[in-house]
Amino acid sequence: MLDKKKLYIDGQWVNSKSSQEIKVINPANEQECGVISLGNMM
Amino acid sequence: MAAAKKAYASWSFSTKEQRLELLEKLYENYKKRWNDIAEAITLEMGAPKDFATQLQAGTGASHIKSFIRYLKNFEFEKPLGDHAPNQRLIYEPKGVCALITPWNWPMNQVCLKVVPALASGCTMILKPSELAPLSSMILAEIIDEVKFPPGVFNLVNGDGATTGDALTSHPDVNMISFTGSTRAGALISQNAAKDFKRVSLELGGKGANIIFKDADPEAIERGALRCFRNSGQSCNAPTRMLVEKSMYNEAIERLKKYTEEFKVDDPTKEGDHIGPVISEVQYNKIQTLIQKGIDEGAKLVAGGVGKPSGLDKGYYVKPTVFADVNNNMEIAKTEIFGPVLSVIPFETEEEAIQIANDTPYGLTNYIQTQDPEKVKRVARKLRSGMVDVNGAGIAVDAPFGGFKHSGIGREAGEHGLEEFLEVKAVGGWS
Repeated sequence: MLDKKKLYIDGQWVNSKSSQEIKVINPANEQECGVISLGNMM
Repeated sequence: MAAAKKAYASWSFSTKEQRLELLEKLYENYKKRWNDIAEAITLEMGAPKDFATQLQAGTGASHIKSFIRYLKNFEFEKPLGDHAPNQRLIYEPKGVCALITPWNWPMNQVCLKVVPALASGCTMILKPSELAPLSSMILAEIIDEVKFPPGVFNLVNGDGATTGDALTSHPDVNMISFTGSTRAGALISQNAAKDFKRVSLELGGKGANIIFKDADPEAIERGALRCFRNSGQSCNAPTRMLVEKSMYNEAIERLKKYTEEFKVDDPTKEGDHIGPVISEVQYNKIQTLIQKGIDEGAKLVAGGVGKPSGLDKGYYVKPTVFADVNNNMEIAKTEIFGPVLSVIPFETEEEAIQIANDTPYGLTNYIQTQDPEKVKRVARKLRSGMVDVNGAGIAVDAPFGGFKHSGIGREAGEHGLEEFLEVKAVGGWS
């Protein structure tokens, strides 16, 4: 599973201030294929 | 947000040459990562390998190339006209942009927003769809390699209700460009109205494909393919096929044969099949609408509810054709976003135009006839942002956008670049 939790801000890959995550599902097999952050701080 | 605002102060005064140099590098590096992007799209939204490579990833490259050409030729300062040389028009970037993109054509929609925003001197925060964010993260890696100044391009992830709402209601955002559902487009417009953010919206569609009796021999099958392609998940799909009465029975027979032979399969395989739809939510919505069509009395010609045989795991939908549909049925009114075609008979040209325009949407309509005068008459009367005649296709740099509930503004080419620019008039320039 791809860990894609970092955000790209001000020219750098940074950790999200939020600890919430969203799973990315491969629709061809219904399996989790990645995870991203749920950003809420602007 | 702070990064994009800070970067705008200098990036908005960057020269066209600086931006062109960076965009040329972006194009070169995009081509190097082309296959990675296609693979990510297959993984995240199920577009089959060949389709993902040639079309899904390919349109991104086409848009970058096209915007570079338009940027080269664009005059950011020019006189109002020969009659008023002292009146100067200055085109300036609109500011900090929130770019919110959908999952159905991930790289196409991202490039239609990010590239003209970069080209115009705007700074931006991209929020790709949380269902298909992986290809956008590769684009962010490419932009990082190309070394645009820090803060010019930023990427955040999240859903619409949390992240999208926070972005579109933020007071430091000057412009919102959104592609997605009509419902979300209305919510975003409400957020934007509070402080007059500029809004560009590309929303849903329920395109009509008018097949006159003198249509070319491939028109019926071509129309079905355009509806089923990308598993029916295109806002500009011709989902209502309007067929002239005298060839209606023949058309239904041909659609039955074509659709029963239409291939659905694993997207990692090569070939011209379609893959699954994006999610369980969409799968269930499509199933409900197919059942609704049956319940409302439309005639099921091919497909139907349930999964295609041999594809029990994954969100696969049977390509489906309904005949004897009328415009009052749910399947003719709702954007299904699945491989479901509704066939509606008509008798006269006027009736066909009336049925085509009888929808809140107005994105793309299609005309099939060998009569050039009929083409012109009908094309002028269709209330949609685009009209595609005899399978010619709409050019990659032609203005893309809709009338009515299909949106506000235009993307791609010169119109797409101007969407990110404010015009300033200066009197007494010299």
